[in-house]
Amino acid sequence: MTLGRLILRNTVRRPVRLLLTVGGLAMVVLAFGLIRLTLDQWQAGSRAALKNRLITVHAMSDELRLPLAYKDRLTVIPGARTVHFGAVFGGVYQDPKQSFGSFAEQASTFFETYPEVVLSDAERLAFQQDRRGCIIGHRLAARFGWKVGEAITLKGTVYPGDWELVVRGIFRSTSPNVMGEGELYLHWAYANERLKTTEPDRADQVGWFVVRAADGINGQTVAEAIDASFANSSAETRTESEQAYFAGWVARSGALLRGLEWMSGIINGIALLVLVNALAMAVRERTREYAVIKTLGFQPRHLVSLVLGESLLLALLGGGLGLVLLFPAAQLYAVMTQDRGYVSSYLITTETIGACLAVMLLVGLLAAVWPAIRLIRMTTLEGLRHAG
Amino acid sequence: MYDPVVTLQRVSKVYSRAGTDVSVLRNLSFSIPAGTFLAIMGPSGSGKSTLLNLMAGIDRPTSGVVVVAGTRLHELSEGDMARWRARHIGYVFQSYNLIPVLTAAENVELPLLLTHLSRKERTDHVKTALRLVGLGDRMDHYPRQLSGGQEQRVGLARAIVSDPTMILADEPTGNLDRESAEDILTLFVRLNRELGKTIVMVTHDPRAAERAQLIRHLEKGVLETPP
Amino acid sequence: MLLWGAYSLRNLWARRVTTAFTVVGMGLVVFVFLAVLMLAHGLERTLGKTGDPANAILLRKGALSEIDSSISRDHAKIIALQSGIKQTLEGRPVAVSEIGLQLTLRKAKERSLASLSLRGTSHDAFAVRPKVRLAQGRLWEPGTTEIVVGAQVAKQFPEAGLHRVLSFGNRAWTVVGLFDADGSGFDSEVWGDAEQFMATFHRTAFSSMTVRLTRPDALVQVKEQLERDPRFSLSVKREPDYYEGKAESLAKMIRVTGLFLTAVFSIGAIMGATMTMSAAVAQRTTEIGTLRTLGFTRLAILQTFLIESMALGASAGLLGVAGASFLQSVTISTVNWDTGSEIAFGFYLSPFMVGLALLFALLMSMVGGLIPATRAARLEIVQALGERTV
Ligand SMILES: Nc1ncnc2c1ncn2[C@@H]1O[C@H](COP(=O)(O)OP(=O)(O)O)[C@@H](O)[C@H]1O
Ligand SMILES: [Mg+2]
Repeated sequence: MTLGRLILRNTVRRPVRLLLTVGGLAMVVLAFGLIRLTLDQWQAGSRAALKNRLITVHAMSDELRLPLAYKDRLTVIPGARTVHFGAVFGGVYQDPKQSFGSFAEQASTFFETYPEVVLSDAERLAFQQDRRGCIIGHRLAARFGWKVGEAITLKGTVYPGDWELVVRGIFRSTSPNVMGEGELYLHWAYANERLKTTEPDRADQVGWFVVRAADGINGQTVAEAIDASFANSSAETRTESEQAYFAGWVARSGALLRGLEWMSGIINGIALLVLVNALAMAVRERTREYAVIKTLGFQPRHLVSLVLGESLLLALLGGGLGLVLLFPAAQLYAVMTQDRGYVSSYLITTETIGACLAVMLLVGLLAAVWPAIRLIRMTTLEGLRHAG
Repeated sequence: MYDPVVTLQRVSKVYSRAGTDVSVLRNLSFSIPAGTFLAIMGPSGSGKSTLLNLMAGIDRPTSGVVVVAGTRLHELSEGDMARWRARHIGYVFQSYNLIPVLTAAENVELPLLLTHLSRKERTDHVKTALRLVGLGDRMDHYPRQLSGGQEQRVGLARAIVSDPTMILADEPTGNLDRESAEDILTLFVRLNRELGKTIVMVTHDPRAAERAQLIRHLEKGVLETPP
Repeated sequence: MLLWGAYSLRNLWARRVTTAFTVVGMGLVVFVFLAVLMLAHGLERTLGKTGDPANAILLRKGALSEIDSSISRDHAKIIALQSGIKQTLEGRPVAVSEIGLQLTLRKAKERSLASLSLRGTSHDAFAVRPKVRLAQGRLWEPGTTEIVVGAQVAKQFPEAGLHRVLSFGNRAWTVVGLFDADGSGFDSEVWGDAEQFMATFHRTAFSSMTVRLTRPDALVQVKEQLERDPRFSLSVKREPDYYEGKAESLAKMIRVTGLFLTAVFSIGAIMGATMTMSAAVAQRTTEIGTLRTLGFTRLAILQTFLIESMALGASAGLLGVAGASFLQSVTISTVNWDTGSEIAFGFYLSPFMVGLALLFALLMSMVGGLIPATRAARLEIVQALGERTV
């Protein structure tokens, strides 16, 4: 026998309490895991984004557009491989409340710019050859039940009018955090053509340029060259790597991220209290036993290791169960928050799992402190007199 | 061998509770030669347990010196006291105080975890101790599966398994029926006679005390030889 | 029976350490629950307060926001004369043609980018929106690049405080005044001369018009006339209705995420409460046997433990509410996903929400106490007196 066995036996001694403690901790870990997941996913986009894909936007305002004419000047910037562009299309299908992202893009450079898009060559070709064609992510297709070849009508918000489009491909993405699977892409040229007649003032403008820096070229240098070339013009640019661009958007929601972080902190507080409570009850009941053990000649540190061992064991059991539950819960959570636009997928990463376990370890350590101190302070005599 | 095993010099114990001092032991001086089986008697509240606890090093006197097994106990720190206890004292409780989640064998093994014995040696010691108290066949039973008398015999095995210098027992038969009590007392006598163990037993039962070599009465904080 | 009151409370006090852990744990759950409600409500309130029911906002048909909308200067002049729109004593329409824009700004402190809402307008804006008033400094001089900023802008962007100079579009813009929009979304805006903004942003048209109606119910008439008029292709909405829908994603995210998570870990807290009450029952088994011998009914025992548990819940509820009430002074500023611009809003606590939180706490503790209390009530007297269970 070892003290480890005593710890184990003590832990399972009151099955009801064990169940409640582990269950309670598991729920808390589950909530914590879901928050970590949200935070991780939020930031995953910027981590997965490419460093050599540069995004050029209007420096003064997010909503201002850049003249199409900039394209020619971008093409000659040293180090720029492909110059792609696009704009928010803002299409609405039937109900404006059921929104999804839709973008008008230059079809000829689209696939080269976004290698994340997984689509058969036939479908790529079909899209590029049909001016009224569009491609959609498989999640969007599933949402509205759209099939390849189907004609759909969108109401334009940014590009006014009714738009008849034909689905030419349904794609998946190798990196859903960067290239989502719930969006629609159509030809910018088609959208722009109609705008020329309806609102000529706004025609021939793009929301952003995407420049792929040539291999081996520092993206930052190219970005600086781009911004320098448009400095002091009527529309100055701001060029960042896609990574920095995404990170910037995440930072704009900084207050919400901090709110979630606060929440995860409080949640850990709850876990701590549940565990401390369980331990305190256990230690109180066993005061006499601990005193007997002390009488036999065991040191306070032995008692501490008994309590600490039990605490860590409970914490890890709770953490483990919570993680197991996290998988189905994340699915449910994904369904509930689907298409709110702030999280694109709920992949449980090793980081999420690591964070959960690390936190439970910490909770296990901290929870043992107070009961352990009480045990150390307890004199053998008091303990032996204890009625519990 | 330490002889005498216990020496008390002008030992006093005063409890102060709610402002009033209760003097439990008064200027007690005596010694216990090695190999003695001593019974301490006295009415309830006379300070028998207090005296025993002072010798066991789980309590400290208000004044005076307690020397047990050649060690001046007041000089020891908490930690050293615990180590000293593990080496020299086997304690038998009135209410057995076995750990309910451990089997008889594991309960007996507990003090051995403080020694450097190997697993094999520990198991051998445990078997020997349990056989000695007649429970060689109850090794894997949990305390709740044992009778009171059997529990106390496990308690006794736990007290002797590490071969301590001295065995201290506080009313070891207090919770037992006559028959079980006799078994325990017989074991004490055997341990004393055959293995030469020094035993101090606190009891208020004259029939139990009779089995000891020596009886002392504790009354009003003073130790007296019975008439 | 006296048993339930003093007896329960004394027992809680006797186990005060465990009681405290349970109460604080559940209190934290209540706190988060309330904080989520307060934040979502605060956001909705800020947006709901934006706009006046006596006003109508006019946008291009099909446009979801001011960004997609445009109204030409010529049209604006004609539209303002529409019947149903209020006029001043001198016969001028109480209407304002505006351009809504966004300005990308790097926050000096956090070094992160943010979008400020710009509103190119005229002094008439204050006539149309009487709740917005100048709090410090003065209004912009028409035809200059002077600007005034809302109370939240001044707070969240120190670089846009009074007398500071912002530069964008190759021009310098001086902040000459601060306005107070009564906690509405306008507080997160920068106002200035419409013509100056249009020139800087290369716009030739306004993006919206806001008009004061002769009576709130004149909306139907104005809407009918303007939306039918083939010259304009407009959509007319009541001003608050328009702004209210402007942060739906954000509000939903706060509600769905916040409440889903709260639901999950409140189960954890309920289990904590069950544990506490189970221990209480186990500890007092003999006592329960004694009470039953004295003639107390099973129901009395059940009530005792339920009341004890709910006393825990009530304290937790009060603790959570007390903690959350401190949040009322906190303001959060974040990007509004629906508009892309920065919006500031606070935690708003209403008596209804306090009631809801207390109810939530009581419910948690009741559910938590139910099983142990039932078990206590079901104990057989002999068994309870004889041995310890659990
Ligand atoms: N911690 C204490 N505080 C105050 N008085 C105590 C304490 N421990 C024991 N006593 C008192 O000391 C006296 C002797 O106790 P004890 O040694 O347990 O007696 P015995 O074992 O002979 O029955 C009793 O009167 C008891 O009330
Ligand atoms: Mg005694």
